[in-house]
Formats: sequence, C-alpha cells, structure tokens
Amino acid sequence: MATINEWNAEKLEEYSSLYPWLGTEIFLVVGVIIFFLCFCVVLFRFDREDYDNET
Amino acid sequence: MDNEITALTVIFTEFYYWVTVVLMFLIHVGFCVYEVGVSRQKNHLHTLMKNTILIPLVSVTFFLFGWWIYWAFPNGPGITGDLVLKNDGFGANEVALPWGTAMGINLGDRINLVFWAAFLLFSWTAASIVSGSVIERIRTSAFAIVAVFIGSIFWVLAASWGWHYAGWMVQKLGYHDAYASGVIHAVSGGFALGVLVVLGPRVGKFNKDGTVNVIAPQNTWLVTIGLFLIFAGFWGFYAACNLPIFNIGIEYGAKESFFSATNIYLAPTTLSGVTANFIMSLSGGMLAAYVVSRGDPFWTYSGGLAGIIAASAGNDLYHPLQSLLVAAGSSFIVYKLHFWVERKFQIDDAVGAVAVHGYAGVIGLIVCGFMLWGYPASPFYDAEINPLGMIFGAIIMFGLLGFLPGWVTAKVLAFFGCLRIPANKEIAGLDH
Repeated sequence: MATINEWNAEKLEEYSSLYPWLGTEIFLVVGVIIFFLCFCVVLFRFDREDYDNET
Repeated sequence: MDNEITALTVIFTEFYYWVTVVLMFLIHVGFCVYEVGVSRQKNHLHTLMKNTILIPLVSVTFFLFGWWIYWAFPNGPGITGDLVLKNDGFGANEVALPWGTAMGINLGDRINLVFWAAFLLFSWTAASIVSGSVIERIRTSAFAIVAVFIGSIFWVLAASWGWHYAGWMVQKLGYHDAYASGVIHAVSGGFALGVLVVLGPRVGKFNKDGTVNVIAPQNTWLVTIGLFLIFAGFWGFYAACNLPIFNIGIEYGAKESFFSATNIYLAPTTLSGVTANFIMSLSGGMLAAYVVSRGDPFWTYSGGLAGIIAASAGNDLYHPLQSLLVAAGSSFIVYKLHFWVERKFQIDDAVGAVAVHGYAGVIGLIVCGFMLWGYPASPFYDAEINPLGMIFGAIIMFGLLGFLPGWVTAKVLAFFGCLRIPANKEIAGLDH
C-alpha cells in the first residue's frame, strides 16, 4: 500500500514518512518479535539435539 | 563554481563517490579471498588469478565502451526513443566517448569520472559474481571473455534500461530497483547459470546415479573474512547507488530549492533510513539462513548477503522491519532453491552465486513490486511501481540479459574448445 502516489514539486517540504503500509507498524513489530522468538526456540532445539542427546 | 553552496555541493559529491570507490574495492578483495577459501588447495592460485585479472580487463573495456553503453541505451533503443548520443550534456557522446574531453581531468566536470569509477566497481562485482560459480574448471581465457561480456556489456545494458532516471523499463514497466537486486545481482546470477549449464560440473561433483558429492569450502576462515569484506564493501555499494545531495526542488520544477539525497532515479530518500534497512536486511537474512542451514557458516554468511540483495530493490523506501522480513523469507527460499536446482539439474555452482545473487535478486524484484505497488517509479515520468512490471523486469534481468547471453557465450566458447580445462588437468589441479 503506497504512502505516496506522486512527487509534487511544490509540496516537497510536506513529505515525511515514505515507507509502505504506513500505520501498520505495530503489526510489523509483532511479526518480527514472533520471528525472533521462533529463531530462539529453534536455536535451543539445535543445541539440545547437538549436545544433550549425545550423552 | 562561483559560490560557496555550489562548490560545497560539487566537491562533497565528488569526494563522496571517491570514498564509495575505495570502500567498494573491499568487495573485490572479499571475492578473491572468499573464492580461494572455497576452492581446493590444488586450485588456489588459478582461482585467485582468474578473479584478479578481471580488474584490468573490465576496467579497460568499461572505459572504452561500457560507460558509453550506459548513457546511450536508456531508450532501448527503439522503445522510448533512439540512441541517446546528445542530450543536454548527458548524452553518450557528450560524457562517455573514450576520446572525449569529459573522459579526462576537466575542471568543467568534476563528477563524471568518479561516477564512472563507481559504476566500474559495480562492473567488477558483476563479473566477480560469475567468477565464483565457475571455479576449478573454466579456462582463464574463457573467463576473460565472460567477464568482459557481463562486466562491460550486459549488466551495463541492464542498468541503462532499469537503473537510469530515464530508462525505458522505468518509464514503461514501472521498474524500481534502488540498490540493484536486478540490474547487477539477477543479471549476473542469470549469466552465471547460463555459463554453468554449458560448462558442466566439476569432476567428482556428481555420481553416475545422480547423487551429489559435497565439495565443502576448503578454508572456512578465508570464506568468513572474504564475506565480511564483501559486507564492508557493500556499504560503499549502497552509498554509491545514491546521489548524496541534489536540488530536487528545482529539478522537479518548483521555484524553491529543496535539497535531498536521492536514489538513482533522482527520487528522494534518506541515507539514514537506507543504513538501517541495510543492517536489518543483513540480520534477517543471517537469522533465516542460520536456521535453514542449521548453523552452517558458509550459508549463514551467504544468507546474510542474499537477504541484503533481496531487500535491495526497495530498500530506499522499506521500513527497516519490512526489510528484515523480506530478507529472512528470501534467504530461506534461496537456500532451498539452490539445493533443489543442484539435485534436479546437476548444476554445480561452487559458491552458490546463482542462488545468492540470481534467485535472491529475482525474489527481491517480485516482492518489491507488491510492497511498493502504487509508488511513483520516477519523479519525471508517469509510471507507477506494480507487480506485473516488476515480474517482467525480473524476467528481463535474469533471463534476457543474464541467462541467455551467458548460455550463448559459453556455447560459442565450448564450440571452439576454449571453455573448459581438460579433465586430466582438472583432476591434477590447475596450479601444477
């Protein structure tokens, strides 16, 4: 979802945030937290399989 | 330069590009170190010198005709106009003729040659991408031809079409590729694949029953240092894709000046945001690659690179968290795709360059088409970024300007018996 549709020469001073899907930042944050937690879980699982199962 | 603002702007821009060139040199150091680290001990010197010799070869040819191609071909030609030979000081014959006054020290133009140098370093990168994938069996003479074709012709044509403020792909397709997912990485990855199809795998890579033998990187530490150098040089690459300071107010037709950094299409962005996007896409790529490769160092670093490359098309506009997610998803797909293609088609890509650069570049372009759908592709033309245009763009970059010329070049070289080193020499090692 585009935040801007044109570059208006007379309104350049008025532009601020440019990234797409403006207003959905909180969902992005939640998504990245989930991704990050999933990574941590997988990391723990790798270590468990690599070290704990060998004994 | 008759006033302080003009002088500061011009000298700063000149120095800015000069710094990017020095930084980008690290990319090539990294490629050399990394390829040697991947190659077996019996092939170290051959691998090193093959990649080293592309520096002078591509430099000379890029001076003679590569730079001219960039400025001459934005219209196709024949799609949005003719060859651009003269254009208010920005035609090919005005800025890029090797015997022209613009191609020497000239107090009337302080930017042209340092801009040329920045593009030249992109050219080295394009050729180096192909270099890694074909190690340990290609003749140096064949690679010299391949390097000149990709480094001084085909990636430059891609840039002229899709990485030029007036490129026909920008105007007609709404193509957007801020940090060259397509025009360098997809093109070079496609070119490498075209060469690999003809060149064939290294002796011993595949068994008769089609199973794969792993020829793992021989020196993980060299690979690590090499890829970190590539990451370091990539900062220069990103910086060189921008204009650091540009009066877009006047250029867009306003009465007031408005200065901003811009992307290659002269649309405003901020170096600040781009810096965050670079780091976050590196992080996303590495995290996903670590998981999918189960902590394999080679693929974790390569996944970081693939992540940056995939996010690059839209990294002038993405939010850093969007960059991270795009990179993570792409890195995962790239890894899976590499091994699927290797098994299915018996393609021996020694460094995973087709995947890390080619597939990541294509994925990045397609994702960008959806993520930035509706944004203006250019401040000067009535075209908007859209998924279909970006998919066509990806096909043109990877297929038309990458795979096809690579395949034809390799076919011609193979026809004359000039492509591959004989098997007995390959088995003995290329350094003997």
